[in-house]
Amino acid sequence: MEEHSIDLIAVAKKAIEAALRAGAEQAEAYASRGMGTSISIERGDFKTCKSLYDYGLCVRSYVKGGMGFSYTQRITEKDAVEIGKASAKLARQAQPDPDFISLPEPKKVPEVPGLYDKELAELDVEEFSELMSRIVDAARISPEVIVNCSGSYGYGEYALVNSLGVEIEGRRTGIGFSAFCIVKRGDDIGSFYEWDSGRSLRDVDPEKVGKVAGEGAIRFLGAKKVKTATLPVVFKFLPAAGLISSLIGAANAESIHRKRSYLVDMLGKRIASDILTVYDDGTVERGIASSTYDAEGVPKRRFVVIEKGILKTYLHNSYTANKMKAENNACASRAGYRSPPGIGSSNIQIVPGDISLNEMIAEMREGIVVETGFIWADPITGTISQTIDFGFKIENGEYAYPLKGTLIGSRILDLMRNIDAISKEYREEPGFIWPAIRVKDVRIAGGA
Amino acid sequence: MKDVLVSILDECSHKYSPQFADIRVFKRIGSSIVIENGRAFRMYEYRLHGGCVRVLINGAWGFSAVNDTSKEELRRAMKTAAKMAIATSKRVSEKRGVAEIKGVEDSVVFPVKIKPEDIPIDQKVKELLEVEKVARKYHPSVVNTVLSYGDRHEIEIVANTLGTYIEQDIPRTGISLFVATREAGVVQRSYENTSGIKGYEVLKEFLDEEKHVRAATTAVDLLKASPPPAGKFKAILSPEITGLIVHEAFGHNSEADAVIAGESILEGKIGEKVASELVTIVDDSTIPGAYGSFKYDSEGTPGRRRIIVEKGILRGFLHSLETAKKLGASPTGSARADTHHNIPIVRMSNTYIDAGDWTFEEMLEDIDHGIYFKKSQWGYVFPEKGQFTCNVIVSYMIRKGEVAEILRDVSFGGLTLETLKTVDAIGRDLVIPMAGMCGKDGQGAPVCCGGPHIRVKEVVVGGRA
Repeated sequence: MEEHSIDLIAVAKKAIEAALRAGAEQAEAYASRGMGTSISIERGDFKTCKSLYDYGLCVRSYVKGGMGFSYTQRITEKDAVEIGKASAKLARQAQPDPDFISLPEPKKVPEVPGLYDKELAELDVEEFSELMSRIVDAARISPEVIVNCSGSYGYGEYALVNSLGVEIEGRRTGIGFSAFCIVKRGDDIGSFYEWDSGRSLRDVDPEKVGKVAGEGAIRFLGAKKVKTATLPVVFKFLPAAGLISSLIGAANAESIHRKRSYLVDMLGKRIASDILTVYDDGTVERGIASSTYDAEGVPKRRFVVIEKGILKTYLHNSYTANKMKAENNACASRAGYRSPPGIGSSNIQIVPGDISLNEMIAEMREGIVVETGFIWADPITGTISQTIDFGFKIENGEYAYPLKGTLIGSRILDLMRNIDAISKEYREEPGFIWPAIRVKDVRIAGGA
Repeated sequence: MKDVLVSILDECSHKYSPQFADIRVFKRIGSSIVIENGRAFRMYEYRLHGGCVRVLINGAWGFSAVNDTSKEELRRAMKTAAKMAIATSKRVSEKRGVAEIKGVEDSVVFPVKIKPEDIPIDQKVKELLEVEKVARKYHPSVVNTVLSYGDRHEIEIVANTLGTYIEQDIPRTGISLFVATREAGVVQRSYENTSGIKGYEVLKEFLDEEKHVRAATTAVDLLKASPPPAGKFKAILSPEITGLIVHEAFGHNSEADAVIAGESILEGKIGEKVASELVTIVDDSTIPGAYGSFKYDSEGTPGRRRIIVEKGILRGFLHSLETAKKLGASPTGSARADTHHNIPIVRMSNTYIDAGDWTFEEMLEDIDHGIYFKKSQWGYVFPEKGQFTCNVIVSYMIRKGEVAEILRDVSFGGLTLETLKTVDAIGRDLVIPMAGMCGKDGQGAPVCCGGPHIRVKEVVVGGRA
């Protein structure tokens, strides 16, 4: 397999040279290759085992700020030259963009440790099958639990080069799996899911994933509808993370620059309760969203996004930082070789509070706990209008029954300003810190 | 290519005696132009290319994909897939199989009126800029316009041990326009798109329907819209929202892989009443030019028109070769894969509720206090509970039988079977207007959905008031 031995840096450089020769004023090339294995399990039984060897190369070129982007799934030198030329041709055809100033200059920093784990990279498919079996065994807490799972692991390496001298290579490993469990008693259906992920085997716990999903499915039997009301709501770890991540997503400086975000003109202003402080830290050892450099080669860092409720910064890449004359906080992110870098957060860390989760719930005479699921706000309007898919009704401070057919309607800034408690307990995924939050006066629509 | 693929399948059969094996070779070549705020400053071109082999041994599947179509690499992928299947088969208690249909040989090219590659890029840019300009200049509150144009060819070759050999070349072209408006701190947006198995003629279709004007008008009107009330409402759904609900709330439940996995509320309900007797639901991959159409699925099975619900009675599911075997049904040509990196899974194509005989005005007459859901944004479902959510950009209150004030940012939800049983009127105005990408298990698939206006006795609206 020729692609196994190809020097990714050399290929990326070749592509840059070709782009510059073809008229690009600046250019950037990214090459990657990786191997992944995944397993799916249906009703507790192994279904498919899949192996994927993927590699690709992309180049973006600039002429007077106009961008040409081209990618291919081949990484030979010949392909590099073709892709380099193609991107330069596109950049010449594009109209000028006066807002583009420059790609970033090189800056070297020490590598973030723990992003690559040799043991995981060399894991055998049999060992991974064994691990997946453990999820199923743990989830089958009773014969009525239907267990569906999927999981994958793999390694990847990449090279990033630009015409200003950025020259970076790196490698990483990853593993992740999830269990989705269902229990049916006639027309009464309970379901729940759980997942885990990390950079190495020691970051993940298959038994816990199975147990939480299996037990959750049974807990969600007997769901009832509620009446439309205004109630306090506790968003547990994942829904809280979803809400706050979507808030931070709206601080994308490109959206701000283009005026398509509800956070336009909110820098330095209050956007949340003063008990909310949120960091973005792309440098956490072994962090799922950690990397030494961002997708354009700028060293990652830890910075505060929301401090005591005040929006302290937008999330920048080189384009927006240059244009808006702001500090580049290294938020260029890339999904792979198939798209140019965009802007995204890395490891979101919400500063925990000092009240226990049990107290937060017990203090509600009547309320709702959102156990899991992803609740988010529209990134443009900031509106939240969604179903609470995994919620519980709280009565007299205690769990009463699970919900069905219940929606939440609000605006994210109203929710954030109405946060009145943050739990001291939190869910920690490598790099991430997600406590629960409680929000007062949330409009709940029910079908009862 | 045929000789290469057949020889690898022969080798696979000889070495591993699989129950079934297939090879797909895939190529996607595309380009796009993005115009933002009056400048066409981002241009894209791409090429996906590779192959994959899937093998069923001792009741277990193995799959391997590479970004290469040489005989040597495809042979290597075949051996890896066999190794994966053998490793998995040790842990399989119920052996899987496939429906043994007759192999088909065919080569298909979908014609278009105007080949995108025949239009010089300068001309495309010039024409697209004119379209974007109309929206940008529509009103002072317009702060951001993004027009995206893209065309692509997908060539998929499928060969399997049933004797099937299919070559299929599908061109898809699309144009979409996003408009954001801002006034007094309120930000709103709207978008329109036209996509299909078509060529550059999509631009004319987009303009003929004045979608550039509609996107701008809607985004401007929404600035003055009211937040929705919360609670239970009688509702009329536009063809677009009917499509969203039929796709999200019902369609995903009818995919047989979800049924087998215990993740569908329709499990065990064939022949039973699952909707009002007014409701007939169809999935049809043969509609000419529709975004979700194809002649053969990614397993080489011919696509067709399939009635899922007939007058309220569940008639069948959408199937792959595997799910058809498992449930004793005929394959429906519904196994689709995104690229060579993906295993074919059961998907919808173009899904709709069939026409009834009501007019929109007749539906309105009986509603004293309700909501007309007009333009959708997204939806999703947890099929095992049949709990769906639809997000709607534009809605209107209905008061005393008339369409009243505009509402923004509405979601409504419900339980699929309850909601479909309360459909009490179906319009005669069938259209299938919603083209988009449906996501499932990390794979995208081009789909379309629609229907006529329909009336529902009760949905729950997640409002702020």
